[in-house]
Parts: sequence; structure tokens; C-alpha cells
Amino acid sequence: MSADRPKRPVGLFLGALALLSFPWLPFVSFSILGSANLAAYYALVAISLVVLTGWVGQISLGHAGIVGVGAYVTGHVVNGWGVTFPVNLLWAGAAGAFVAAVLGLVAVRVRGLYLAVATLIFSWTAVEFLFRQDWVTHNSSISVAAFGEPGTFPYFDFTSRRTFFYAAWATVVAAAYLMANLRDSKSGRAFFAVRGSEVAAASMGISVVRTKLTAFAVSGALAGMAGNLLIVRDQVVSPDAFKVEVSLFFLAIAVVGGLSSLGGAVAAAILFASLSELFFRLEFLSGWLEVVPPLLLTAVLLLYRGGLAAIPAALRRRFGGPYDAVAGRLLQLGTQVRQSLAARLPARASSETPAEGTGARVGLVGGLWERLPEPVRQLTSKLPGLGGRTPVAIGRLDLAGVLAGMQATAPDESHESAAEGSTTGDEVVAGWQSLRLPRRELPAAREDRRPLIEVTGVTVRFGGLVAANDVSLTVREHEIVGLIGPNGAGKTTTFNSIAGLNVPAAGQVRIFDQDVTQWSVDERARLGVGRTFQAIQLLPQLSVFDNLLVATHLQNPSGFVAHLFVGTSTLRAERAAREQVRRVARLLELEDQLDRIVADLPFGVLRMVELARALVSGAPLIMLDEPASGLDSTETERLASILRVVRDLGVTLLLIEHDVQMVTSVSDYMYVLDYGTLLAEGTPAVVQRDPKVIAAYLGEAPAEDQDSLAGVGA
Amino acid sequence: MSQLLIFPLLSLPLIGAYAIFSLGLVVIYRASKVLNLAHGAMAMIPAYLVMTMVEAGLPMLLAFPFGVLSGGLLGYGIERVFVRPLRTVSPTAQTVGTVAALGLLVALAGKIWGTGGRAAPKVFPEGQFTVGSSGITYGSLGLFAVMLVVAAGLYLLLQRTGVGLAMRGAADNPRAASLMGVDPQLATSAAWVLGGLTAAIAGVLLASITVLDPVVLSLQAVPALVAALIGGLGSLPGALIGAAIVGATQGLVPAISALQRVEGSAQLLLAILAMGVMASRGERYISSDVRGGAL
Repeated sequence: MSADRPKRPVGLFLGALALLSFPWLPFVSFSILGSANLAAYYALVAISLVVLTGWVGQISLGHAGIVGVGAYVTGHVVNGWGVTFPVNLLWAGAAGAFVAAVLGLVAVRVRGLYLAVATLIFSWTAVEFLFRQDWVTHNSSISVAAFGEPGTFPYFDFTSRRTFFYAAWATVVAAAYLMANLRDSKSGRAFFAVRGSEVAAASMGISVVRTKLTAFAVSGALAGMAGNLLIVRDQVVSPDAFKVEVSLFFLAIAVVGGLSSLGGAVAAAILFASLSELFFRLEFLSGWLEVVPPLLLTAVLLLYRGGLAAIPAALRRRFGGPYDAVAGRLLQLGTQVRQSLAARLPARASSETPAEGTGARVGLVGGLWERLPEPVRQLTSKLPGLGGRTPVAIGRLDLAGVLAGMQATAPDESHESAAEGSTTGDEVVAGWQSLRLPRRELPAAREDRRPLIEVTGVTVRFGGLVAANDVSLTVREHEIVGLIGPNGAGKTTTFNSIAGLNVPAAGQVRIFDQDVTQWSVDERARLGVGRTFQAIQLLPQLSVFDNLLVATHLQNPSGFVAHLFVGTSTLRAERAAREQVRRVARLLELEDQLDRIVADLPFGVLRMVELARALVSGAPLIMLDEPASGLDSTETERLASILRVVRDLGVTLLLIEHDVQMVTSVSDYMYVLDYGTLLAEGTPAVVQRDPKVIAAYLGEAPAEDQDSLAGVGA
Repeated sequence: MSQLLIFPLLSLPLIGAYAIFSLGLVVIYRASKVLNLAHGAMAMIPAYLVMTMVEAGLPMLLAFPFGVLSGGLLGYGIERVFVRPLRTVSPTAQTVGTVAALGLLVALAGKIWGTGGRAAPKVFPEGQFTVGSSGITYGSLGLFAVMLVVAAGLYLLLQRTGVGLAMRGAADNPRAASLMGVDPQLATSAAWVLGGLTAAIAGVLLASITVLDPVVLSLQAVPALVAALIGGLGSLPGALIGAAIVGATQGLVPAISALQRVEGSAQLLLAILAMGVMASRGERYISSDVRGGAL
């Protein structure tokens, strides 16, 4: 980041100069100016699709319908109420957000291809029904709906292409700025988490429904504003501008841009507008314009999936230094503009450079926002964003505080050797263990300790199969409970009942003294339950650091509006989140891996990252789904010692596991399942000698001398 | 009386075309988990080819089979070029691939044959079959009859032989299918060829009784998509029922005087129906698949 500093004024200056001087350049004709304004329209739609499809993974084949709603609403507020251009942007945005949110209500029920069809049907209905109604098109003929002058405003004449150029591009720059803020905030991380794995997102307390609806509304607002730009630019609007093919064309722009990059979206918009200008001017190309978007879409899909957004990185790889010196300066313009705005406020995120794309920055507007009276700001957390509501029933574990305390008392030699990276994992773990905090006073007898999970008589049926039959178990505070059983014993089914992935036909699940049997996964997570997955559910294309950062969701009180404008509450929360991640990474020795991309890491490290993610969430209760599967014996031993450390930090653990030796070595208490029913329970020593358990693992008729299960499954 | 009769008769060709399209969509979906948005284009291109051949002097009897074959070829080509390379990415990416194919084919057709609507050559003889005071052209009746034949043929092929099972297996678990001696790639290709052949049949027949236009004909697949969706997206009988509902709605709604004045009321009804079906079929639990990219 510090390397960027000298460049910053240069980039800002060049970018502003390019944008401000463009309409006055000698070669910029009336027609080129029109295309530049068209590019602004495309850019806003493309940004809208980047948010929805690129970041949240919700494909939309119906954006033209939303854009059309924005355009017609603009026409109506102009004609009916005399609301003129810059102001009617808000109306168009609100209308777009509303329509998209309604579409989103369908989207939260369906996904993938069904969502594609739903949005396509929306686009089809908009063309065949909505934009053919006289009350929508203003009683004009079917093909042209003429409205009054949408572009008049005191002192400004937005019917002038030059004036409109500035207004339109200011809108695009503002939208890109706000969306970049959103991307780098808690909201953005929730977006990526939902895109990557809905169940993992929910297990970190992210409400999948809220996240999707937010994304639809945000995307719809931008699309509605794009419709506003269209009608103000053209002064008239025809239903033909919003046909189904147009929706597909919009998707083509976004895909060509790289689909998840704001800069790429704007670049693709400029590319498509330039091409239309070019094809219009060159005689021999005229008529071939329609072929270009599908051709570019095909080329990007099949040959260069990163799209335009991937070009800078590719050039940098190819040309190295000279590229950085010249082109990089220009291409990083967007970032620099934001960063230089950020520099205007003294309160900054921690000086350490976070992984790319996650830095929280202060905006000017954000600073103003923070100067509003407290009650007004309080309102933001109640907006339908992602922040605010965190009904945590039990105190969330202040892991950062605990670890900070430990660090302060850490013996110097252990600290230094860890810093040199010369110690083995075991030594460091031993180091932490030696620093064990004074334990809270716990009742000596297990029965007297507070139960955190109480499963009573849970029965789960899948069709005719009873996967779990009248299972009861209890996990008490400050212990490691192992749940074992042969394949098909119902371990995972029981585990899922606790996690919220199935609803039992009978029985009750209580967590922290609450009946959560009917609660969703994210509601349970908000109660203070973290988990890991047997099949790794990390975001493969993000760094370890960014993956862990997602888990700070529930500890981050900042609201949606604060995310948009990077208020100080956002910054404060981001600083705390980064600190939390670094501390947990230090505990699990993941510091060296923080900047690595998850997809490049070996399996054993990924298991640790998942455990780290559960720890980062601060959940006082963590469920581990076969944490040792896929680990070799050294890694398994290390995992076991880490689990003990974690327990001693005050975290209660429930694990299901195939590796019997591992479970027996680490558990304080065990439950054994077979054929969906509870076979045995007790301390590892008791369970290991239970003849029923031995029979279940080694077959019927237990031999007299097989009095121990140690070694089975190791 | 005649007024009431004429609208069901008007629905027949729509039902015929939508049924053939949605059957093809279902066959392709079952075999590759891809929603073929280029389905209408696989109908439109053969229709233009048949028109060109007939204009060049070829008799319809020869031009029709060639046109249908071109549809099969198109189906194979689209899968090979636009869908297969994206299989490793995601079903959604493959569907976007078919969007690219649709765009390219529509643009090329517009470039070659012009974007304006044209009259396509008749497949069935001119004239109409009269019922009371209303009548139905032989072309419309023919389209409906051909649909019945296509549906019966697909049913026999997919339900009564191992082909359909092989196609489904290829999509659900390619590795297991290949262990059972099914070449999953071949099964997928076969499904696309089948989709292309049937789409071409419907396209040529539909063009001959309506109008030939690159965009309009290509987007006739959207109502068929609604039909397939109403039918559950994976079921052949479901697709037929869905097509009957969609075709009848589009044919009958204009007959209801209260709705007559509202343009597009049929589409609105169908959209509400489709959304309702999707909302009621929606999964209660969140998905547990991990996806790398946006698509």
C-alpha cells in the first residue's frame, strides 16, 4: 500500500483530467459523445450485474425488465410530478430496487438454473405484458413512449450531451465507489460467502435470505438508475429497449468484463459502446454489430474466462516492470481515487496491509455520516442490510481478549522462536499450553456442569429409513464430546439435527437452554454455535485471510449504510476483525498461510483453516464434522493437541469422527451410535471396554480378550 | 358457439410447437443438466435452411429431412462448442454458454437472411379443415399431429429402451455411468442431437404457419421453457401437460372478454403460474455445494 502512495496524486489527476476533459477533446464529436453517454448507461447496468451475479452468484437473465421499470418510472415522475433529472434518479433507483426485491423473493426459494428461468420469465412478462400497458407506456403507441423533457433542471440542461456526460459518469463513478466500499465490507464478505457455500455462510450466522434480498435490491436500484440514464439520454423510450435479448446482451457485457470486477464491468461497457460507435462509422462493418456481443461473450466464456478484468494481471505477468511503471498507474486509478479519499480522514484501518480487496477505507461521505447524531446512525443498523441484529444468547467468547492476555504473559523464548519459525508445531502448542489461563471455576462432577447442547429423543426419518432413532445426548460446558459409530450409524444425521440441517420427526434439540429444534442454521450460529465441515467449505478463490475474515460477521455491529460510506463504525469493526483473525491465525500457526489462496493449499492446512474460521467467529460451542479425515497421523496428533488447547481456552467442542483412536484420546465424554440408536455413552475408558461397542466395531460375538478399542480405525 | 370453438382450435398449433420444444428441453436437461436457451435458435436456423432450399427449387419432401438433420447437427455442435468446455465450471456457466450460442445464431441468421419477417414455404397443403363456421388450417393441424408422433417416438425411445436411462445416468453420475458401459459423452451428445432434431421439426412447421423471423422464432422457446418448468423440468409427460397449459392459456385467454383488452394477460398469467410452481417446489434447506466462481 505504501508503494502506491507516490502514484496516488498522479493517478487521481490523470483520471479526473481524462473524465473532465473528454467532452472537449477535438476528436469527440456529437456522435462520440452520445456513445460515451451510452457507455455510462451500459456501465451502470454492468455494475448492477456484477453485484448480483458476480458477487452473490445469482444469475439474472431479466435485467432489461428492471432497467425498463426504472426508465418508465422516471418518465412518470417527470410528467406527473415534474421531478427532473438528477432527483428522479432516486425514484428510478427505488423502483428498480423494489421490483428486484420482489423478484428476489422468488429467488430465495430457487437457485441456479431455476433462478435463471425465473429471471428470464420476468423479462418476458415485462416485455409482453408490463411494457404494453397504456398506464405504463403513457398512452402512446406501442413502439414509442414519449414523455416530457426529463432532463431539465435549474441552471443545467441535461438534454445537452455534454452536461449529461458529466452527470451520467458522475453517477457511474459514485456507484462504483459505493459498490467497492460494499464489497470490502462485512456485507461484501457475506455476498461472497453465500456465493461460495450457502451452508457455510449460514453456519457463520449469515442469513442467506437477507443477503440475497439485499443483493437483489442493491442490484435493482442500480439497474433502475441505469434506466433513468437511458430515458434522460434519449428523451424518449421504447419498449423495444427492454426486450428479452437485451437482458442477454447485458449479461454479455458483464461476463466480458469478468463478471465480478467493477473495473472490468466499466471497461466492458466502454468497449461495447465504442464498438457500436465504430461499427456505425465504418461502412464495411455496418450491419455486423449484432454479431459482436455474442462473439465476445463466446470468446470470453471459452477462451478467457477472466474477461477484461484479467487483462491487467496478465499484462503484468508478461511485461513486468515497464507495465507497472506505465499502464498499472492508469489501471489502478479506481483504487487510487478511493484511497486518496480515504486518506482525508485521520481514522484509518490498521497499518498492516490486508489481503487485496478487503481493505476498509474511509470515504469523505463516510466521515460526514459519522458526524450525524447517534440516533440517526442507529437507524442504519435497522435497515434491511446485513448488520445490526445479533441476538446472541450466551456471551460470545472474547477470543481476541483471551489470546491477547496469553500473549502478554508469553515467555519470551517461546515467542521469539515462534517468530523465527524454527519451532515445530508441537513445541508451539506446548508453549501455549504452558500459558493456560486460570480455569474458570467449574463444578467437579460432569453432571453439575451447565449443559450447552441437550438432544432429547431425536428421531430423523428419510422416507422409510430411520436414520436416527430416539437419540439423546448432552454436551456440557468446557468439555470435548466425541460422537462415534460405524458407517451409517446416524452420526451425521444427529450432527445435522444439532446444526440445523434437518428437522427431526420427533424429539427436541436445545442449545444454550433454548429450544432450537425449528431454528435455521444461521439463527443457531447467532446463538453461538460454530462448525467445521467434513467436505471443506471454504471459498476457494479467496485467501485464507479473507476466508477467516468472513467469520467475524457476527462480531461486526456495523450496518449496511455504514458499509456503503465506510463510516467509522465500519472501520472500527474492520480493525477488530483483522486483529481477531491474526490472533487466531497465530494460535493455529496459520500466519504464513494467510495470504495464500485457499485453492492452492494442501488438505491438512484447509482443515486447520476451517477450525480457525470457527474460532474466529468467537462461538463458545464448536461442532467438528470428522476433523481428522484426510489427515495423516502427525497431523491428527497435532489436531488433537490443538483441540485440547481450544477447550482450555473455554470453547466447548462436539466432534464426530471415524478415527476412534483420535476421539478416545481427545474426548472427555463419548457417545456411540449404531443403526441410528445410542449404543453406549461414558468416558473414553468406559466406552472402549463396552462389549456392545466392540461388537459394533469388530462384528458380532466379541472375543474375551478384545477389551479395548484402541487402535481400531487408526 | 363458433367463437368458443375457434380459440381452442387456435391453441392447437401452439400446443404442438411448445410440446415439441419442451420435450426437447427436458431431454437435454435430463442428459446434461443444462437449460438450453438456444433451443429456439435450433428451430430457427433449420427453418431458414428449408426456406432457402425450397427457394432454390428443392421439393419440400427433400428439403424437410435435410432441415431436420441440420437441427440435429446444430444440437451436436452447440453442445460440443458452447456447453462441453464449460462443464467443469458449472451448470449455470453452461447455460450462459447457450445464451452465447443463441446470440450468435440469431445475429448470423439476421445477417444472412435479413432481420425482417419472411413467409416460409408451406409444409402441409394450403386449405383448412372446417368445423362449423370456424376452420383450422392443415398446417396447424399437421403441427399438432406431428407433435403427437414426436412425443410417442420420444416416449418409446427414452422409456422403453435403455437410451433414456443411459442419458440420465450420464448426467447424474458420469463416472458410474461409464462403469456401466455407457459412454457419458455419447449419451449427452445423443440427447442434444435428439433435442436439435425435434426442435428443427417444430421450427420448420411453426415457421410455415406463422412468420419466419430470427428473433421471434428463437424466443418461442421461452414459453416452452415455462411449459417444461410447470412440468417439473425433468419429466416428459410433465412437459406435455405444461405445453398444453401454456398453449391453451395463450390461445384461450384472448377469448375471455374481460382479459381481451389487457395485452399480454396470457403471459402474465403464465408467469404467475410459473413463479408459483417454482416457489412451491423450492428447496427448504440451503444448498451445500461449494462453488468457486460466480457462474
